[in-house]
Amino acid sequence: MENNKKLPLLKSIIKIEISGLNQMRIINLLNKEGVILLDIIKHSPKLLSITINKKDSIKTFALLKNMCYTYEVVALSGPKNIRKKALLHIGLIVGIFVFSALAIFLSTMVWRIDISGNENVDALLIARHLNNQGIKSGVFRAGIDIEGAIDALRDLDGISEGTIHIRGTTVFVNVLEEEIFVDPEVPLLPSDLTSNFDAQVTRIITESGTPLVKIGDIVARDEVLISRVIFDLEGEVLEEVKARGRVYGNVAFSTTHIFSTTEVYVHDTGERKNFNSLSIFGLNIGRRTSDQVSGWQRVSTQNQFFFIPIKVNRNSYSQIIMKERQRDVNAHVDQLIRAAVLDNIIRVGGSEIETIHTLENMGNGLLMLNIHIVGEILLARVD
Amino acid sequence: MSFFSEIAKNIGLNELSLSGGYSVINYNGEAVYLEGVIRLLSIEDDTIALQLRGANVIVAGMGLRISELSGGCIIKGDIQNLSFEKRRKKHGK
Repeated sequence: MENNKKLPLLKSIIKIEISGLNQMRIINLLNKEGVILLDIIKHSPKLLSITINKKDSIKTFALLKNMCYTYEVVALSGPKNIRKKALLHIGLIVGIFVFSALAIFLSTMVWRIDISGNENVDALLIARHLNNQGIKSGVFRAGIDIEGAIDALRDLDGISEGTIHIRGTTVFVNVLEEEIFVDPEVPLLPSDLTSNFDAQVTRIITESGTPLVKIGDIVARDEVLISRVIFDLEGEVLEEVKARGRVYGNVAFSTTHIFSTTEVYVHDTGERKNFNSLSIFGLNIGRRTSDQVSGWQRVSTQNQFFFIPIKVNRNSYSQIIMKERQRDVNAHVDQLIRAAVLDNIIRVGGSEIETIHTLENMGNGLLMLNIHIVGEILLARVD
Repeated sequence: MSFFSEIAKNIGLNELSLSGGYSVINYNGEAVYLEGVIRLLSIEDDTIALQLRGANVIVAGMGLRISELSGGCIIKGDIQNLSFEKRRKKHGK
């Protein structure tokens, strides 16, 4: 007769195997002594198993010894047994406890500062200012003086108002910047309008002051185009003003480029490698990958857990090699001409552009490109 | 008044005499509860014999096991037969 039923976990009971003849004698004696017997199983004429409550164990063992029965405790259950089993996994239990304690401890600190609302004032400046007020990564949330920090924000140049609140381990800072006003009552100092380029004047628009040049004149850089002095009809100085207006002129630029008929380009072989690593408090944990991917191009992503300073870094590497090929000379010449026009004419608001270029073969695979650009640009402007 | 006493009264039995006797309840042939157990006489897989107050009982079946033995006794298994043998009361000389 076998009973494979497991002992209930939380009940304090003991299963005992008793060896000996006259099994009824011991059962009836235990029953007479008030021991509650559970699951009486006769395994053989000489082997019997019973289950008793732990509180009856001393009485039972004493009776068995007195009657010279051989017995063996084969199973235990109850809270004490649970403790014993737990001790076998003490390392895991301690690890879970330490991790939980660490997570709880770290959640009482600030690990991120989020700044928003700023357009003209640099976020780094705001962060540095907050740092001086004790708001920075690694400080306890409870130790932050929010009202004091808000007052300090208002003292920052360019900031009129601010709000600070803490959610989780992040401090959210929102600022309102000051509006910039130009006082119209401030008088403008008298000044001349001078040319920024060497050019031939094509158009003059004068709003105040006296023009000193006319259409067709060749002017040099820094030459006065519109004077601040206003003369009367007799040539006497009437007053001095801030010269305002616009003067246009034709300018010419020349530039030379020497380049090779072959070019080197970056080629992606298609090979990929991926590595993951963990970083805690900025300290990377994981195998070194730099030796395996020397010369490879890296694309990284990062995921951060919101409340604790643990980041998962996913690094993807692409293998790239440098290769040489024949250059498309015409495309390269067009590109150089466009760049020259952009840098010298368009950037300064020019128009009516004409370009002339020559290409010479210098030998040894080298070419020389000469570019001559003519266009009308704004020589000077004050509104 | 207990449940069993109520039944005893309804069927006209003397409650006083019942207090020194035994009761056996068969639960659908799956378990038997016995009250008034004096001692266990034998225990096998197919029969269990007990001495009760006023009678001996043999519980026969398959896969029998004593689930609990304290003041009463609970036997579980496939119970197929219950047989009783009244014991004579001893008379003094």
